[in-house]
Amino acid sequence: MSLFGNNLSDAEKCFIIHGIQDDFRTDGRSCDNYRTIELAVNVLTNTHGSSKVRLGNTELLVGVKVELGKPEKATPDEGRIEFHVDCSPNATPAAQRKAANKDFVNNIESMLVRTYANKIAIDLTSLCIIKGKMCWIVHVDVLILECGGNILDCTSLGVKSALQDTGIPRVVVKSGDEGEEEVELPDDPFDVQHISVNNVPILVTVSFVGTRHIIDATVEEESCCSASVVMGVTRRGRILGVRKQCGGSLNPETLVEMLEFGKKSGRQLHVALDKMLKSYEKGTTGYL
Amino acid sequence: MAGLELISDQGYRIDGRKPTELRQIRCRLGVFTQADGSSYVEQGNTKVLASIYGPHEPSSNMRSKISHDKCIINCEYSQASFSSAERKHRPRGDRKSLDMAAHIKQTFESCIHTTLYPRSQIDIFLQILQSDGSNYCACVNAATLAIVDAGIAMKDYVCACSASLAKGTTLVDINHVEESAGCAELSAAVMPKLNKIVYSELNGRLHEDEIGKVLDSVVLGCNDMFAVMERTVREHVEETVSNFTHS
Amino acid sequence: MATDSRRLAVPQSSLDPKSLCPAKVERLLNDEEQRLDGRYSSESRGIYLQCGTVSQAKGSCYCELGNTKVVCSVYGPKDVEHYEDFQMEGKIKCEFKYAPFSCSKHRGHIPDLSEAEISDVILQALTASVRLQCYPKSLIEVFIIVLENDGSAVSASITAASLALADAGIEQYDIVTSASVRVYGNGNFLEDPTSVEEYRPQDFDSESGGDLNHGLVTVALLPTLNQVCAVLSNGHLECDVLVETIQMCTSLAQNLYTAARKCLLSSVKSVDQNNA
Repeated sequence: MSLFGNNLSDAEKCFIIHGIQDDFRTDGRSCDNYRTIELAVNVLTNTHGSSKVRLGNTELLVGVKVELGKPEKATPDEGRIEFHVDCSPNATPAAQRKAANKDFVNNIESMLVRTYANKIAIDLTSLCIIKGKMCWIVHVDVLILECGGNILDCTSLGVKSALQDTGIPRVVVKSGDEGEEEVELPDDPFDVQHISVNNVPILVTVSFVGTRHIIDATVEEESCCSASVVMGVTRRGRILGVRKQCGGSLNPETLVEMLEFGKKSGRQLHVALDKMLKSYEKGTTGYL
Repeated sequence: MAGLELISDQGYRIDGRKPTELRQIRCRLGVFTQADGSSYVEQGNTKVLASIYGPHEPSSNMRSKISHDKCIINCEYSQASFSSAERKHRPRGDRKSLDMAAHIKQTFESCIHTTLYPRSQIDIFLQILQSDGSNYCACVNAATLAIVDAGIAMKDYVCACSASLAKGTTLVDINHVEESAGCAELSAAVMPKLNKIVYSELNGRLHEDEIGKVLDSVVLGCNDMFAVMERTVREHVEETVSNFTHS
Repeated sequence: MATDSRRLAVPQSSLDPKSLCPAKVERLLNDEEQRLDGRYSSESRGIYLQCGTVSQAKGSCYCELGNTKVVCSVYGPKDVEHYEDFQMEGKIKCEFKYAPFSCSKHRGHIPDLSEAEISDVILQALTASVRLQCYPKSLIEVFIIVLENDGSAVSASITAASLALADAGIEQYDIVTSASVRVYGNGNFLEDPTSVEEYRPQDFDSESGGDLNHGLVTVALLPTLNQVCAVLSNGHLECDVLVETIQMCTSLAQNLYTAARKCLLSSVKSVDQNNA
């Protein structure tokens, strides 16, 4: 994404490409290594669930708020999940125009919408309160604080952690006056139900640089890559959405290899993330 | 809010503070690697991230405002959608954000040595992660620390604080509940060593006899704020210098 | 608000009457392996391509794929719109839009998020093919409008866009052709799906036990070079099913190459005849 691309000289790009060919990237990683991931959940008090993720130099905050609303006419027994991505001015160097910023943000939003728009990722029927009249609308707000490459992977990690942390108030449906149903919120703020995140996808971006494919590209590596494929992978290895980015072309065999590689990496990421979330001791740590 | 007393009979506020007590302040400099200067300030539950880019060549949409003898200051204020209790759909560009950005720009135009950076632009970006009252004050404090981190010359630190009046007692550093209780709120940005007020804003009505009292407590609050900020800067510099000498 | 005398006094929000009808859950394949429109699963609809349909544009192409109708027009190369630093390579700007009346549900006039995403995907496909180093400091604009959407609009658009670029005389490495395949249950691949057959999450409740594969895959290909330049998929698929589907789309796109070449040849011949 040219929004953050440093203007690298041809010699620097050559250096990066040759290094990757020898399985040795500029920061010493091999082609299938992720940078260190730092994760914290429950960092914001005004939300129902939140998380902060740092992947190398990429940092973002995800806040989940649930609101009561009306379900769509076409799906009266389902709730809704909506994604909003915002790029903080802290992340963009001063010279960027607003239009380019909007494309960058739409790119992330549309990929999230694509991989969550199916019956597998989130069970939307669990968000329904009164069929046809009331449901939970889950607003997922992503705030990008710093972009150091691989923003899609980082976003999906943040979204999964925040959704796992989300506590939806347990409402009770009672029949009120005139036979209409009324909804009562609980008095106890800790009386919550959680959304099941077993099948939530993690986005994996596999970039093709020179002659090899890598995962978790930094900004410099992204500016050298000719083509990259983003895929949403569930824990079981199902692929919930694929999109190719960057204007280059791929051999069909290479594409297949990249998809298999992405699926393997995605599953490993799920395992690591779940282990981390399980052992995480909750407490409002704040941003520091 | 029926039954909500801003100050109890024993003299304690809603969150248990004394009237002249500031909230817990935590600050850190140098949070981002990409920005020229950055800082993070927490005042109670209000959390602000500030980053400074500059001085640099004016961007294309600012080229018309280039000045031969001083720099242009560009300020942008945005509030995250999840920052307040009610979800805010438009993070920036709405009336209140533009207003706030204009006030902060005004504040820093009088404090930064703009004549030292002719024909350049300094960007101040503020991001509210959590909002619990005194947003302007937290922003100004964060921006000051970020400017110090960026190494841009200023006449003095700029510390801001807010105060309100309830039942004849001034409450310093008000939070969201106290803000929405309907009392007058006075915010001011002060240069503590030079003892000058750079910016002040009053929301609500205040009798002229009481305005002096409230302003004095604001200035006292700013001086307390200054003590914290200066300590933070010294610690940061000590840490940075020790990293140089030990490596 | 002051009343606008030029506008009719109508309700602010309106409802599509179709949403009040109970949703019909249809099976896409009946017992004789026939689809809803009578085709078999490995049968594509006939494609019609014609270049030079929009006289004002530098190059244009009209594509019909069954009932799906797409018009693409190309303007350029022209100056870049904002003054930017000197660039050795040209820029392509692509805008994809469903006409408000094209889909079963009314679409607004302003491109929404999904249209912006598809514009981006088509841009990737065309960037892989156009020789941008021949057009420094220039901008090539590609506008695609779907007049009627009966499935596979994205693949029809990509093919039409590439032919429009060729019609405009813009140098490309190869014509980009594209095809879509719908994965329906286990082992059923529906080539060139119609709009009813395209993947929608709310359909097929009975089959979403979670084990069956459902999804739509679109692939754009450079046929003579055998290079994939765009991939788009949604739904839930196992990796090997996804790979099989991509290979199927690739071979379909290869077959489209002859039709695309024929269209270009006939447009050149007709220009030749007009000049003679």
